[in-house]
Amino acid sequence: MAIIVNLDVMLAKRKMSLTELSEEVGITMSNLSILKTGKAKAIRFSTLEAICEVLDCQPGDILEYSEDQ
Amino acid sequence: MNLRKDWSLAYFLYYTCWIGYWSIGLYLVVTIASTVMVSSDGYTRLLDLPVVMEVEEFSEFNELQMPTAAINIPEQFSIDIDIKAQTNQHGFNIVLLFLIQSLSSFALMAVLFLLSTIFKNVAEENPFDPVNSKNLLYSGVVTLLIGCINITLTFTPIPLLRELHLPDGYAIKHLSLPTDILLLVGVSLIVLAYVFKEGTRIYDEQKLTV
Repeated sequence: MAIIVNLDVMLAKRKMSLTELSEEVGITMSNLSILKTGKAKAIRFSTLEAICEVLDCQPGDILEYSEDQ
Repeated sequence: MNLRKDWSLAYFLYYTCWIGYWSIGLYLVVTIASTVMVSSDGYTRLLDLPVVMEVEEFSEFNELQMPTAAINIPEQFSIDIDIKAQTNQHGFNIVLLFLIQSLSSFALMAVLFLLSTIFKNVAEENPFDPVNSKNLLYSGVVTLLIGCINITLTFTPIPLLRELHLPDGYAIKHLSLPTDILLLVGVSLIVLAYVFKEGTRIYDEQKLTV
């Protein structure tokens, strides 16, 4: 997949666990795991907005495009 | 009103497929057994072979006039015939004709088996299982293939049918096997399989959307 999800990096920067993010964003742990492990095929704007709001970051901090993969 | 899960339409169709599958299997076994039993007297019988017959008599006199209606009998018509032939001379041809006659039944058994797995998956609330679209595709291919084989067999000369010495004016033109309906059902099932496959893909994508 050419899109890399850097959610774990942002979580480490904010010193936040996946469980805390799940509770604050309001999406299930399983869905967050799908996103974190790069298995997700799409992400809703509403989800992205909620994650960015909680982590106080930009979408580009979470998602990254890589040509070689 | 909540129906019991076992009485849902999908389960009903699943059980119907299984009943149909075993009924056809039983019918084939009974037919084979009865043919073998009959052949013990030196003759083998084949029942209900669908053929197209031609009766010359009907080419001249083919309209039955009645005071208030008329019936037109065509020169050629489809009919099921019973054949009794000496086993030592025509045994192979009888077996060949039996296999041709039973081909649609074998195909129907395969299709019923494949459809039963689909209905079971639907009944277990798993309609987007990738196996469903595959089985639907296989059902369509089997049906289409049998339709094509039947078209070929219809116009293939069968030795025994040629060797039958029928009275003058009577002739067996060719076998009368189902073709049109099989081709139509086969193509429909293949199209449905692709729709199912696309549905499964969309479902998977939706499932992995966060």
